[in-house]
Amino acid sequence: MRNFRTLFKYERRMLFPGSHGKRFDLLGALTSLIFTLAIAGIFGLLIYYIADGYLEVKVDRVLDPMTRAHELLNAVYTIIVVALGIMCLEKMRSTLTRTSDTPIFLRLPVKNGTIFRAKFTALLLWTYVAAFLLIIPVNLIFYFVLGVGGDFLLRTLLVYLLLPMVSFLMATILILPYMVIIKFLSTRYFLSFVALSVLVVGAFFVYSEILGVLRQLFENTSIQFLFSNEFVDFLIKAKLYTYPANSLASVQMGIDMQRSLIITVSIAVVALLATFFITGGLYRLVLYRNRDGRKSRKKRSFGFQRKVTASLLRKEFITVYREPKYLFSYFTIAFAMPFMIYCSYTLFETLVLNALGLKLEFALSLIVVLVFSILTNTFCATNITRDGKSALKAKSFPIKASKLLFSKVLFCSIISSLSVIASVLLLYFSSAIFPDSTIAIQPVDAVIVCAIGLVFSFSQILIATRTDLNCAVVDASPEEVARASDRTIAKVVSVGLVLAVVIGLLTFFISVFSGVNPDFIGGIVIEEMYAYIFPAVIALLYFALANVYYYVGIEKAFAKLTK
Amino acid sequence: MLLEVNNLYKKYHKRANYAIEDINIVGRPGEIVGVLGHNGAGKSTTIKCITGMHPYEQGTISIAGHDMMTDAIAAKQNFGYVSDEYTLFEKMTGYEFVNFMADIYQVKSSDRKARIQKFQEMLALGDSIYKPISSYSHGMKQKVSFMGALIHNPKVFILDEPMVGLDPHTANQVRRFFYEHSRSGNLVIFSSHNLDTVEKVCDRVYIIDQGKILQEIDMAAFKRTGCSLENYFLLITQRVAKV
Repeated sequence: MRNFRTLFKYERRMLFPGSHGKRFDLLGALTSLIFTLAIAGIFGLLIYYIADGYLEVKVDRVLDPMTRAHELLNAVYTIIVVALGIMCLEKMRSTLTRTSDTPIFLRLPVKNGTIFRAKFTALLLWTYVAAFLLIIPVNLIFYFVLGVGGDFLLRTLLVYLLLPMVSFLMATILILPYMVIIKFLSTRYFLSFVALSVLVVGAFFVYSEILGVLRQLFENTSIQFLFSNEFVDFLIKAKLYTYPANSLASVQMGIDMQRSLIITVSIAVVALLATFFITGGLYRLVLYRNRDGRKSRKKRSFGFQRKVTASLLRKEFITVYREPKYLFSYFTIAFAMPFMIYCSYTLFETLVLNALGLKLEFALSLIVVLVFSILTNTFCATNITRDGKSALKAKSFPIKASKLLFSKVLFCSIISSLSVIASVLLLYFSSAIFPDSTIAIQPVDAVIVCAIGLVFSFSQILIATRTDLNCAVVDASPEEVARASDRTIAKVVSVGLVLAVVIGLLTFFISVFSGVNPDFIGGIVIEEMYAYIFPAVIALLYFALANVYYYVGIEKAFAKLTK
Repeated sequence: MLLEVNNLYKKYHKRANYAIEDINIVGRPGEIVGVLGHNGAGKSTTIKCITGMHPYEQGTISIAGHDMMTDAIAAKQNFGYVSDEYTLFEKMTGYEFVNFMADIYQVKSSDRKARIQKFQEMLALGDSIYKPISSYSHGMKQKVSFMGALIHNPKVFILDEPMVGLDPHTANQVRRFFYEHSRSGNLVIFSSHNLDTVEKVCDRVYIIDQGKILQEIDMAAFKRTGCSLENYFLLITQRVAKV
């Protein structure tokens, strides 16, 4: 039992890494809290409006809020089961296949079963924590919207206990094919890139659709537009097929309680047992598998000599391209950036048009390109850190630090430039690509947005790289390295965001007031040209400052890099 | 002189005491020099200062006549270094890494092919060199580190605990290579706490303890005394510990 407790503590630490830090990172915690609250707020608001609106829908001219609530809860629970199942799937895979500690476990005087039970219990705990964050807020929203009694809250507890088991079962069914796919993709980097890009673009598409609904909500001040006959029919029919979410919804609503409870409890018990035995078997296989299953890469003859910078660039590319974590956070995000910019632009365009009756293409495209370029270049804040101890080894190379670091800046600049140029091209040609697009950016505006976007991106890359060099932690535990990286990213993003907002708002106001009669604004004449000049000057100044910040004392800073 | 270290002092950040004090080491062409000491004696710190990985407070380091402070690039061009930890770019394959190192030292195409073939045979790397470094065993990583450090045929070959993790056959091949490389007019210098290896291969040995060099030993003269290096090492380090 003591072994189990020790192992469980260890697994819990692995699954909740942020909860055991030696030093409390206030900035990190606040950033996470604000981010989580913002996302939860958007979704909470959306669910509230949808629930509130859907309960008023009449089917066959009959108003039946309880039946509507049951249909909607069924849909929401289905989404939660699937979302939780997917999250569980990845946690299950990483917990079962984590190889860093397997050799230690294998030589401990502990039964494999005990190790597995510790892993399983920690996974169960993680699932219930994640489920708590998803189920409780949703049910509280329904509780307030429906205005029902306290027994609704008691039944929430039952749903909370039963629903995660269904997700657990789903993850167990999918774990084997998922592991096969991950193994298949692990050495097929281009396929991984395509798969991740599709996922990111898909996720952003869903997100923009949700924002679109919110936008329409602001425009119409009622959500009834969402509930077309087809939509309502779909929800009613879905209820018949989405087992066991419909039983869970019945339990929650107290409809056909006895039967629904028997079904859900049975499913939960079967799910728990099946998951325990299937994942247990899988873990035993993983524990003793041959770890050196990597494929040899194509043999090539030695002897092709590259220039030092070209070789360093290639190294940067390989380091990012062959690490799924980096592939996702850089290449995939850079690839998806044009699409994200297009979606955000269309959203903001409507908001501004509705609020001011103006089409401010230049100002809007500029602010969107700047903000998203910050997101893409966030990755550059790990330019030194991601090399780990090899960053120290590089100090013994017969190359000046400035040349070594220039390759990193150049690599990021190439990726960032491609992303910015593709984004502006997409905005410019959007009316030709998407038939219902209303974007009409002038060629001159597109060129200036592109130029300012590029200058701004290069400045961000320089600042990110130097900030990382100044406070890099390369020879420490992964937790310490991650904490240091988070701090650097927070600094770089804060500076970039402030400046992007300043440039964007300035351009925005100049564009708005340049068409206004000077008599209405105290006789100040605001030329249209200022909208180009001011952001360009600020961007160039930022670039100059970034260069000074980056280059002054760079050799000394690199020489100081020891830990 | 291929290596000259004079009055070297190094202090770690926020530490009151020096990690190494008044270190003086010389390495001549054709020599194999060992730096011997317990764990934490200051061997790795000395090696890291020599290779430019650690800045130092005081003293001078010269490699093949180039000062590490004022002419660092030329100095670094003249040595190859194998560290005590695997500082390899793990996402590369072994062959990509060796080629990368060859590019860094601007090794000509004609030279690199012959050297790679030689080391591939010597270190029995086989086709594993085409696999990602992240999948390598401890010994395999060490072998690839060797290849990367030797690809430019350095005048000074610096190693930190080089035999750790090598199988007996490879360790023997490496020892032979040390002879071969030094007898071609180059210098091999390595740190170790493996007394047997040091006794077998070194021409001169520096015994280091608590950050200071306790003794410089000429191994040819020492061997004539009939004394074992192990006993001698334990004797003088224990004497310092008692003092």
